[in-house]
Amino acid sequence: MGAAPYILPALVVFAVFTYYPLGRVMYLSLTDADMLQPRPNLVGLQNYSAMFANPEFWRSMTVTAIFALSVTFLEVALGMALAFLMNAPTRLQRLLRGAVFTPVVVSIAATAVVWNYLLSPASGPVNQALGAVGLPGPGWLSDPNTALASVILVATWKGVGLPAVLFLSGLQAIPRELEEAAVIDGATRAQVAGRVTIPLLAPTTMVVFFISLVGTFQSYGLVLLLTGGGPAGSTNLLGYYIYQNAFSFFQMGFASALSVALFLLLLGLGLLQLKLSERRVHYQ
Amino acid sequence: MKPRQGVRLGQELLSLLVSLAFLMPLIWMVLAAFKGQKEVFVGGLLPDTWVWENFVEAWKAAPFAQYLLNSTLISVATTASVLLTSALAAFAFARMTFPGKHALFILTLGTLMIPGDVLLIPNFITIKQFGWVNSYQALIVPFTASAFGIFLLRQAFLRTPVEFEEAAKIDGASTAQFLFRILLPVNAPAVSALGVLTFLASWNALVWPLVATNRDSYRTVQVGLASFSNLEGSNIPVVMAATVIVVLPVLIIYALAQKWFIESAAASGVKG
Repeated sequence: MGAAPYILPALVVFAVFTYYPLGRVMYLSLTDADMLQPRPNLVGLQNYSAMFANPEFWRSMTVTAIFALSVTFLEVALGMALAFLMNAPTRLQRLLRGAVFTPVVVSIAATAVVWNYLLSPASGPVNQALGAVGLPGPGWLSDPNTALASVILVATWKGVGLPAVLFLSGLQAIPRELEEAAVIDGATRAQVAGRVTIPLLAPTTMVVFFISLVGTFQSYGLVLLLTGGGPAGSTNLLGYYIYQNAFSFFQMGFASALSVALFLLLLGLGLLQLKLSERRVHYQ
Repeated sequence: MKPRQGVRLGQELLSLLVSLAFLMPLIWMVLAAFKGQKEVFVGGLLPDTWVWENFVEAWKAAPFAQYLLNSTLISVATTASVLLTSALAAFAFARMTFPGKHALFILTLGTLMIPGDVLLIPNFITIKQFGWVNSYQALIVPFTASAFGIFLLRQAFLRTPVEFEEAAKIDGASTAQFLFRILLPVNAPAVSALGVLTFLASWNALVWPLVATNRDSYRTVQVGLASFSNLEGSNIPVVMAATVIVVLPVLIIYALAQKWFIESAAASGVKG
């Protein structure tokens, strides 16, 4: 008795739907499992050698790296800039805070439907607006040269509200005296921001950086509905590549090997974060 | 004081432009839902005539009432379960001593390092073996516990003064009574933050509901919307009307409790 009735409900769920499947996906990655074969055969490291030999895998890794780093950079930089604006004592403060966070509460499915319409190449509203000022509108999601950039922009529109709010609460936690002291010492606005406020935000910046990075490695729902990984594989994120192999091609074994690769990648990032946060500087 | 006024005006203007940039796609969505099929691509911002029938057509073309019911049921059940399992486990980790406590807590936090997408395939095979494909269980049970929830509530419980517990014991309250009658109400902000975040994640979930269901009777609004826009893709105003139907409940709740949503989100970043 004792603590068992309190911890067991959660632990049973973790055991059945997190730890057991983690072991199982590793096992499946060593088999020829597909949708129809309930008892797969062990094939050793065959899926892994097939994975490393597959150019599509390497392209997917490249696309994922570009996507994750771009979205993370945009979310950190724009998030911080937005937080400064949200913190300014304007009359539109409430509207601004509400507006920036609104896309966060709108689902991925709705986001994809709306942006598919806005970015439609022939006469979508975005290209209409560009046409009105005499600019040629690209095929946004249908052109291999612009598709990834378009998905990155949509993902940033949808995702930047959370970093902005995290930076805002970071800003509000900074004691005002520190900034006021700098002003009394004759610092300009830009100097206060660059030498005092932004360095003081360092712990928040690191949390936001890793939340964004880990999140973007997994966010392929947008790609699933916006581009289906195309055109010509230009938006084929690792997560979507796993989904496609498992549920379109029914190659469960190969898709499991990809899942293990994704797991190791994210585990590496997680351990890096732990290592860095041990060393992180506390200013207060 | 002139330059300061200039800065102030610039901030007001910038705030307005940024707000519009974030809201414009949604404003466009709502306006397109009221337009005619041709006007969507050639007309101006506002509809010439407001076509309310788009909503009727969308509502009739797919079982949105069923989708909304499914999503509500699944999100409410998931949120209630997460609050319960998190409160129980957080209480044990914060207030009880038992063998293996540290190891079990590490095992709980360890789940945060294992992303859901890595578990997609094995969990799909599991629910297939359970015979749960196309069922409410498949959409609820795997999400009934949350390591983040346990962590969040444990932090709150640790901060609650021990005197509360001693006073409750003197008054003859059992451990469970203390947890549900005192500890949870006292920590209402943390509990509601967890509730908001869990409900939102559950309502907006896409990939798992997509693989776990293929029948309308168990589909959520998100899966229903995705497949609807595939089928009706050419009829943009009706697709936009459907999107408005799906997004509106969340947007209304958000408009009413904006501060609450934003504070919940801010709380989620404190876990680092």
